[in-house]
Amino acid sequence: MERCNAIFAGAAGAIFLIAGSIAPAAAQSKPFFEGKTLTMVNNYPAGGASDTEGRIFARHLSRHIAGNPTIVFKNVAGAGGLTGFNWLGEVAKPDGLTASFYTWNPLLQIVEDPALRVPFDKFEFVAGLSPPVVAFIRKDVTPGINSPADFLKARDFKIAGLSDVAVHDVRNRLALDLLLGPVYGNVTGFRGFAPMFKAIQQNEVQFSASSIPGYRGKVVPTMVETGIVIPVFHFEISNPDGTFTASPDVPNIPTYLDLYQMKYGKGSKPTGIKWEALKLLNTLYTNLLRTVFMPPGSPKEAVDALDAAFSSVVKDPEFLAEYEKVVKAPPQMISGDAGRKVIANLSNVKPELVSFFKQYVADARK
Amino acid sequence: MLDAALAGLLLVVQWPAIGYLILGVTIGLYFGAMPGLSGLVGLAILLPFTFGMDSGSAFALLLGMFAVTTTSDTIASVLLGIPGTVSSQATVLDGYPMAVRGEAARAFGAAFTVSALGGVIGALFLGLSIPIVRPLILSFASPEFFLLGVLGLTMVGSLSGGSIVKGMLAAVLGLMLSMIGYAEMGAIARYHFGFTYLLDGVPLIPLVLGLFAVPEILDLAIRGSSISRVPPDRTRGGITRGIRDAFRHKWLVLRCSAIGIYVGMLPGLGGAIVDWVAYGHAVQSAGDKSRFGKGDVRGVIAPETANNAMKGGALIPTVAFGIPGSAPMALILGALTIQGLTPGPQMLTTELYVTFGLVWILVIANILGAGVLMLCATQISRVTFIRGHLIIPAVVLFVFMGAWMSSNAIGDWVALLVFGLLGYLMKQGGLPRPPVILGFILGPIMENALFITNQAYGPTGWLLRPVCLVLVLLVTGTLAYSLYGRRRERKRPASMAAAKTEGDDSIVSLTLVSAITVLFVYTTARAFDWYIDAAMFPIAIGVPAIALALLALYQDARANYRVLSGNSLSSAWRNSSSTLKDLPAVAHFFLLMLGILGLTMLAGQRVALPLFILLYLRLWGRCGWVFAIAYALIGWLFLQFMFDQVVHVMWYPSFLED
Repeated sequence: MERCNAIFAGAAGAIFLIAGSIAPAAAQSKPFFEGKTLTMVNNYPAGGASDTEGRIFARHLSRHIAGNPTIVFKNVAGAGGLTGFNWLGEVAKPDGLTASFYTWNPLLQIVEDPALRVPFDKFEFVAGLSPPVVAFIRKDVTPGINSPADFLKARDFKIAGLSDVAVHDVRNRLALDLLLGPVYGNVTGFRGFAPMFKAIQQNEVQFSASSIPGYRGKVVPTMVETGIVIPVFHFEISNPDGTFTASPDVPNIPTYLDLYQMKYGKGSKPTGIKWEALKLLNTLYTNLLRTVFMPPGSPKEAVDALDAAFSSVVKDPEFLAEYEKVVKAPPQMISGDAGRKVIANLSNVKPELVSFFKQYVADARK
Repeated sequence: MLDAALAGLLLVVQWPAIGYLILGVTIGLYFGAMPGLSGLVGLAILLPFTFGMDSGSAFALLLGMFAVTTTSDTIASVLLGIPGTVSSQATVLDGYPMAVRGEAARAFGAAFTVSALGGVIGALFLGLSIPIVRPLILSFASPEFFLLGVLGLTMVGSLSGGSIVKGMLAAVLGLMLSMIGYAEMGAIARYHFGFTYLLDGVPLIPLVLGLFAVPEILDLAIRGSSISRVPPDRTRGGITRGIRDAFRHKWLVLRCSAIGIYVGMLPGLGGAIVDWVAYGHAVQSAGDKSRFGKGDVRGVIAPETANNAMKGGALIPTVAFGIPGSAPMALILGALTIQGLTPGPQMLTTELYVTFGLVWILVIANILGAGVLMLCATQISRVTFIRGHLIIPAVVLFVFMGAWMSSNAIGDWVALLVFGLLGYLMKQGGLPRPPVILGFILGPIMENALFITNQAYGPTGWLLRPVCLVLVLLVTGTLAYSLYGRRRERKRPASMAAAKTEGDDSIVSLTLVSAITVLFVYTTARAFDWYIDAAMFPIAIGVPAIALALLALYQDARANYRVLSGNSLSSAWRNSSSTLKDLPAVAHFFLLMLGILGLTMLAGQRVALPLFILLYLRLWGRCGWVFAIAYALIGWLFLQFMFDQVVHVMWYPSFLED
């Protein structure tokens, strides 16, 4: 009897042991997103460039996510995109079921703007997009601009901006300061790129810059082809080793450094604190214009699954056909690891650069 | 050109595009009729569905929906005194008094007819004018936009309500409310009093619904009668009379179509002021102005024509120049992008047939939408004769959920009730509410325009721009004409009794104006602590605001002095204040509203709102259990289907659900 009990107990224990090791394995083999709904959020109102791009991704992404979740796309807009980030950091649950498709402003963290309540490097980074940005100017700016080389003599014009602390604006100003000097005025307050483009057509302002979707979608047909503006340079891609690469998407438009060397001699490069500041912003913004984040503390499994999906979807012919039809350029994807290295720059900004940025932004307000 | 026009027509009338057009019109009629929903919400919901559609179907769905929201928005404006969309505020001034007089059907007949006419005229103008309007659109830059805002506020301030001073005061109050939250010009949070919810500013929909809907619901609940104070057998004229009115005033319709088209073309501003400009024109061009604001059918015809014609005008900068003038137009622009179309010269050359397709969609949708509503108008107008207690639960549900759509936060409902209380007091005190909304909408536009103007043109040089000079003259002329008109009206003997929809409680008015004066002093003083970018507009507005407030205070003090002369304060209050008489009922109703809030936090909206319906019908409406339960069940089903499955609203994470 006792022997039977012992055998029985041993068998039961073995069964439990085996079941215990199988059950977690069975649970692990089920994809994280299976049977779930992923909510993707954009930080600008519906219909804008980033919203449209995000929705294209949302339509095709589910096929590439293990578990094929349902994807719902929403907008949390306001305060120049900041409301979306504060919402993602403070309201959205870190359960792996919410991801952003945002345009970010890393300068807010550098200058320690109190409006940004959760630093960008606290979010879980998934993936990003880096379309090139093209700068353009009205042809009738003194002394007349008919080629990028003419731009080097430009003076007495106004540049259009979103706000004093927008990375788009600060980067433009730094670039012009280094290239041309104080020959321009700064007009901020435009609520988006559409009002900026209208103001350029009205000659209220004369210079701006736009990413490829906006440039090809709106600037080229309404202003380049009609002879109002001319593209003068594009911001190059900053490589991890500190070198710069021209974007393959705009082969006929010189890079910023091409223009600099046209003016100051072959091989020359800017120097000084403004150049360090421009390099940092270029690294952060050109390499990572659109960002896919998850709330701080989201499960790694979800982050990795989504990262893999983004890397996969950009090779999907059906997705590419729709994306290029709408955006007029192929997607330049940045994977999770590469993007995290870019974002890591935010944690290592030298104190003198922080002081410089704060002063530079404050000076624009005077 | 003819080929393109015919190709455009084919694009729209073939299957499945025509099916999507009918679907879009159906959805648009619904979204326009429901306060809190709008064409913008409809576009945002429908836009994702257009991925993968052909161009004809995509635009038939989107534009078909959008074209008719300003046709069906008349329903709430006339029946309930709640603007169905922000473009139908002016319609409330005369539409609601017509309903109170039992002439809702007549108002609908006129409104739907002119909506169709205005929409078609606007669409035809779109098709004919794109090649030639570019100089007009581009001549309105930031300085002109600022002055257009001033003109819009001047018109609405002087046209709505009995006192120009109070009208302008209400407009400035709206401007001040618009400055709550982060200033776009700099990272300073203004006037948020430490509330995180206010950092993003006051949301528009809870403000509109609070100011307009809550007082009207309260009024209905307290009176306990129907909307119409005239029984059905004593009403004069139905739909056919309204249709005859529309054709009798055909020249007004033509002129207001032109106003809608030209003002609608102005990116950023047109939609906010078009109904007021049209209304103002109707008043100023009328021989007999005595009935405006009391149920004059021209006060319905003018704005309803213009706000439909505006749609065609608004498409011009969007399609031809890629300049969206409003949030809905930005979505239309997004739709163009999704279809691989590029706004600009292409839309006038290689893609001209698509442009004509848009024109045909507007034409067909406006005729279809107006036709459908005309068929239902008589039945819809009978709502005015139904006991108010039976309508209120449904209206409360729509109003609360409409407010919730703003930011899906409990703050939306708090804002709804706070502004509801303000709206109630304004109504009792005779302070007009439409200028508050217009000031609120125009505030950011004007502040932004002034900010850019100052940087691009300097502090004063822009005033000499030709269009600016014309606008300054128009502002001065509007004010002078209104003052002259008021003087003449005071000399005119009292005519027939008008439908009284606004109060004239002088003590409430004095209290409110005093509070507003203190508020303006505080907001202006506070602005001096900020740097110039964030402070410029509050100070620029604050100084004239304080002057206006003091003038209104003086007027109210004089009015109350006459009341108090010969009476003690308490007896004067009792005699003159209808507000005091209604106070227990008002408090009771607001407690019910707060109950919705509290129960939502405990158990969620899908419990709180149906339970409110049940309790209201039992306690206030004295209805039977079966009826009350059935009504509550329908309310619950509506929440589940429309807001959960279709709109995908984010529900409040209640305590019990958590």
